[in-house]
Amino acid sequence: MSESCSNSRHFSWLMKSCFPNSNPNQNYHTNIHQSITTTTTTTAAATDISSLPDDLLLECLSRVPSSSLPSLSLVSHRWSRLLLSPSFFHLRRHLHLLHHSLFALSSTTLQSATLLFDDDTTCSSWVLHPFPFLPLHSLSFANFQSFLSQARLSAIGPRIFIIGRNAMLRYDTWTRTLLSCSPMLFPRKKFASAVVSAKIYVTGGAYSTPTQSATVDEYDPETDTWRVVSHAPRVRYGCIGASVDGVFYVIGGLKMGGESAARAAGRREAHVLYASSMDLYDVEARAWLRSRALPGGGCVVGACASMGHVYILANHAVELSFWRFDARRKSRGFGEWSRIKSPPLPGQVRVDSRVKFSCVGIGDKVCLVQVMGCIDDLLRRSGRPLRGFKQSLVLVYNTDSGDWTRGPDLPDVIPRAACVHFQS
Amino acid sequence: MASSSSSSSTQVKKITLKAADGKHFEVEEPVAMEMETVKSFFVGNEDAMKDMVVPLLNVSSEHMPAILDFYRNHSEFRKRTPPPPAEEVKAFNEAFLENKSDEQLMEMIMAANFLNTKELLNFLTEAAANRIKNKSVEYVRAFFGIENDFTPEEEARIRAENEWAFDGLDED
Repeated sequence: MSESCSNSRHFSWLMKSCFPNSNPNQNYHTNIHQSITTTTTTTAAATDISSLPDDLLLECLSRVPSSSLPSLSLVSHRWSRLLLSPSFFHLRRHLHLLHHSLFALSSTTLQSATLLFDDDTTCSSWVLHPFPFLPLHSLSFANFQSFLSQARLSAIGPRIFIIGRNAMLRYDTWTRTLLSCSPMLFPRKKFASAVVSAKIYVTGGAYSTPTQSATVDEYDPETDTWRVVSHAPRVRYGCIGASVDGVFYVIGGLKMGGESAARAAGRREAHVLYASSMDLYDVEARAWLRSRALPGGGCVVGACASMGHVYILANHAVELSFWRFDARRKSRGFGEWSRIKSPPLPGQVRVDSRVKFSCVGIGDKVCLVQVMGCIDDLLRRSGRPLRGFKQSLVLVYNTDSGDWTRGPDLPDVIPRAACVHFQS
Repeated sequence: MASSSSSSSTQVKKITLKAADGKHFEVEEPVAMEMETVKSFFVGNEDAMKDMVVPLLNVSSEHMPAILDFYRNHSEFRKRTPPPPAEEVKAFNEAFLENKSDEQLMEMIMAANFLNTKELLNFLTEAAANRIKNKSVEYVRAFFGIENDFTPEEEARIRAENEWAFDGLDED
């Protein structure tokens, strides 16, 4: 099928090159002969690669290994523009040059690491990258740390968007460059974000006035603009976003509204206020579907989407439970929850209110990364808080087989990480 | 279809192709039909086959022998059972690219695009990609005669941002 697509595309190029100024209704042969004079001039000019039309230059550039992309983006404005174009991404996908990876960025050390997921095997090993900290944003190291500590990550193809309260950065994993983008319309904290059809959607989080944070805002990376597209049925603080089948899922979090909102923002352990439900926003229809109740008590500590399902990790104070929601809208099972195998936590990981996981869907895998938490609370109780902490566990759930495997530990230099899946 | 008529006759039909500079090439029909552009020329027009000269506007006669050689060999590779060893195909492809300047490579990419042959186009663009991979920015620019249209300030800024990404390049 993909073969026939590319053929038809080639055919349209051919038609273009064959009949540069022709009317398709005119006689076929006269057109061919007319066009001889116009096309021979372009042949004569074809002396180097820069004179190739964009389509053909893209065909060449899309076959270059990713390690060469940073320098190619510096060749000229045109090359840089081509590497950013959606066609470049689609060509690489077509050539099977795209790979699923997990990206982790530490808010305290400003180090980042990527973990490549191959198609058949689980995963390789973490590769460390110093994150290009930016003097050009005139942010101090400390300010940058605080920006990162509250940021949410969303990725569109190879580009990772770091969405902070008052700023947004775009990190290009191909060219390894960091760009400043338009910040969100309203400052948010602990909000939900997800990508639907190459656009970013955010909602919820802390707010200055309740009406602002109840909006759903859409970011278009093509134009670098935000706009309000809807109003959420309720405001959630600490909610998690995911997307399947064009639906933006706003999952869990704390109930917000009136007096209790202000209190909740200051009190993390307010269990009674858990909003044990999720809201479903149909992006294309610009409409809200029926909200769904969450299983497992509603204390969602991680959630993500993978292969047509939404996965949530619920915390029951002493143990974790793992659930799957059928989010395939055309399937008969749409809307059904099922409890699945819980992540096999090693004995030394104690689940308490300090443990924190990042849950990321990567192709047909769900990856749990322990980004905060204690490995031995006895040590902590005996007054040695730092020694007792460890945050590195990586568990991988295979949605096909339903089995968990342990991935390579997150390197020690990536504490308090924010994680996201990207393709490059 | 054109291909079925060729199998029914004992003698292989020839088709005359005319390169951009007017030179004529007589080509066996199955080889000519490797080119979608030539094939589509005859669709619904089979009677014209005998004496029709097919003009190939974007293909210079300089490249025609090499391109036709590629079609002949690769269609033979595809038909052979068992398939030829990978080394044989690789040896042919390497010999094909040997002594081809970058300018010639670019011209052949244009030609392959015009002739609408996916296999040849893939092969040539892959070869072009191999020539620019792991090369420094200056090398790529000089190699392909591309003018640097970044201002010195722009370039310095981008380089400072992703300086560490330039490790591991080949020596120019």
